[in-house]
Amino acid sequence: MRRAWTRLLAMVVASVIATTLVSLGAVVDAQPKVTIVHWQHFHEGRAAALKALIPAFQGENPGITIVTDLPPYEQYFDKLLAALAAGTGPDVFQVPMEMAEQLINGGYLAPVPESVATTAEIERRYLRWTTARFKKGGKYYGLPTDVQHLVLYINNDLAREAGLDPANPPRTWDDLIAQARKATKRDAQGNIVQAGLDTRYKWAVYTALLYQFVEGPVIDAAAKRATYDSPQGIAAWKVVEQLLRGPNAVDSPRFMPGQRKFELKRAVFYINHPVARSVIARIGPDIKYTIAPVPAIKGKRPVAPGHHWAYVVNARSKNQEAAWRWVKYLASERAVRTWMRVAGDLPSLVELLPTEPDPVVRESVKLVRPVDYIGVCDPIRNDLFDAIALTTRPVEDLVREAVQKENTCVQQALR
Amino acid sequence: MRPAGAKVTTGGEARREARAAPRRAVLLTYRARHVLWALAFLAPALLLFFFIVVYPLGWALALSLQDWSFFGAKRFIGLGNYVRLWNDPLFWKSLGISFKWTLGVVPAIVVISLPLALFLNAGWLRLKALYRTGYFIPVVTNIVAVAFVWRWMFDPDFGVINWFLGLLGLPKPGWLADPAWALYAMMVVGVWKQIGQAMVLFLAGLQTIPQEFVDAAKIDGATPWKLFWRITLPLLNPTLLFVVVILVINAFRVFTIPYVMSAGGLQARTPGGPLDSTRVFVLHIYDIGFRQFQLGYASANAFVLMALIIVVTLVQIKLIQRPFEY
Repeated sequence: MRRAWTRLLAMVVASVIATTLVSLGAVVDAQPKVTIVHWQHFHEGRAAALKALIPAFQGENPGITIVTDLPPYEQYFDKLLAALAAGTGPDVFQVPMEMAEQLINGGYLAPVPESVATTAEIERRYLRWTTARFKKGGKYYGLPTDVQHLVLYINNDLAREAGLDPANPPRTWDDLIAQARKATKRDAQGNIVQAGLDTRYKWAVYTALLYQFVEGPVIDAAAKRATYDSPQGIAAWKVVEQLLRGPNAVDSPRFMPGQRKFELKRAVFYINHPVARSVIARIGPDIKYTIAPVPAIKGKRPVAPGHHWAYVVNARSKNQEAAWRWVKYLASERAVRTWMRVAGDLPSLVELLPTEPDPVVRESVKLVRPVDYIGVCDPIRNDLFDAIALTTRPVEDLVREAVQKENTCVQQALR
Repeated sequence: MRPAGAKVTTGGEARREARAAPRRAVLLTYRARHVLWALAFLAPALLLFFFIVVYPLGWALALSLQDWSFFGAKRFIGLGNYVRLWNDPLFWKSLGISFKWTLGVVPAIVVISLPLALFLNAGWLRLKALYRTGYFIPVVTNIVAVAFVWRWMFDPDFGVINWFLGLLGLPKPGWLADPAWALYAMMVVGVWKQIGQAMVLFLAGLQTIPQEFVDAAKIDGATPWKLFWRITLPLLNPTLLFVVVILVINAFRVFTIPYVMSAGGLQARTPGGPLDSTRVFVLHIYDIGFRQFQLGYASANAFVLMALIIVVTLVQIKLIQRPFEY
């Protein structure tokens, strides 16, 4: 009898335990599943880093799924802004520093909650210039990513072939022009077959020049106007003229148009961001190159123009808590290490700066002058760059016309 | 077994009652009922037309009277956007480029596709289906992919076109990198892409011409040249009109070819470049709307394009359409 009772009791206890376990499982399953839509423009290195970060985050946050869309840079803003205007934008997206004011003033961005990072914490942990543009009314509206300055790449083999010493890189713009001219190769008809300087990434070339030559703001936000029609600005664009016009040009828009000349071993010098390391590793893994600081103006302190993007959360997102958790992860120490290792990014976190392996990249951070471009006005300067290369019109006239257009663009952005 | 008191109705009485009953109940006339039924059947299509065409068109018209960027509130400015475009040099430049494209591409397609259709319609030709398929392939090929391939073919350094020119000892233009050549290079692609479509339409038109007319002309001693000018071309007039109207509309709406060939892929180049030399009108509208985010101004430009297409189409109908009788 007693045995029967014991057996019955055991069965009851087992049933209770089983029921409890099943119920707990159901509770776990019933946890709300959240999908965070994440957009950023495609970049070979950064896409690979993101691919590594997503599973790690999802593993730690089983209720959250990250869905990404990485349109090409050329289509990114069209798609993003149309979606934001239509109220169908992603939960998390990436925006460049020059669009911060427009998006914050337009009410498109949600402020960083205190639970994610306090104002003091943001200011203590991140490089100050990588967060400043995203602060308004004492609140921050994004956490930094894609932190970059400009450096000079030198193809060691091609430089030596031209009689140059990559260990002794050009220190000034005059040096760069002279060395690039020496390294430029032409065929019998005079067409360039090897560029001294790869100018495909026009933005990098003219930005390196403008932020060295123009001592005050390049874009004066208070006056809502561009200042690069000043004598200093004209001097900067005159260097572009020396690089691209006449029989001594070191590159031409008609030489491998739109192609990555440096990565394809068709250019000796190249001005780009440290993130270009990951692209070189993919396209030209056997290229031996040296990284040097961008040339300076003779007798002046060198300057490395700095630029960054930020991860932001859509003010209309219905999943803000999960979205911010994802952004916090993307800007965390662990993630920044991945951005550095896989993409070749600079760290946004002050504490990680010493871990940057390249001494030139690391030391150049001390020379950073953040760009002050406002709005999506890059095409105006890109066209000016092309006009200098493709026409014979005086540089002064072309610059004045461009400044007028940029003034309108800046005024539109700051309305 | 009938229930008690039940009325017995004959078949003839029932029919009469059935006819009389609706007459008493009907409030609508026979014609009105027909119209209602027609509307009921048309309703799905009309609703779709309203939501897909009429509503967006009305919205765009309203937008064209406002100053609105993505980042601020809308502001009614009346005809301000239309006044602005009148004074915008880029508006006139892009309009000029679209006209240049139209005047280059449309006649080229007609001049190439009509003889091609005559050739493929010839009785003596073998393997007609093969030729027709071959010439039609560009029409069904993805335009983005095609534009990329053509871009590589036009590469100044490694492109096959300059390689051939080099073999012939001719100068090698910069093509897409040169403002003087870029538009012409793209027009070649525009022609190549649409020849097949025009050819098929001409073929269909040629096959509607009664053979008796051709035979009678031949008996009268008409040469092939006269046969073409006096019989074929006049009787092909409706097809010619249709083809030209469609091609002109396509020409004014061209976007993908100049967009992809000037800036597609990771090129860091401006659409419509170099130096706006390929900035066709739709690219201009796209640039204003989705790159400068001025949706009101972009809508005003779009309405000008619509008006332009309507006017040009009416002019074409007036100029090309010829009355004829079989």
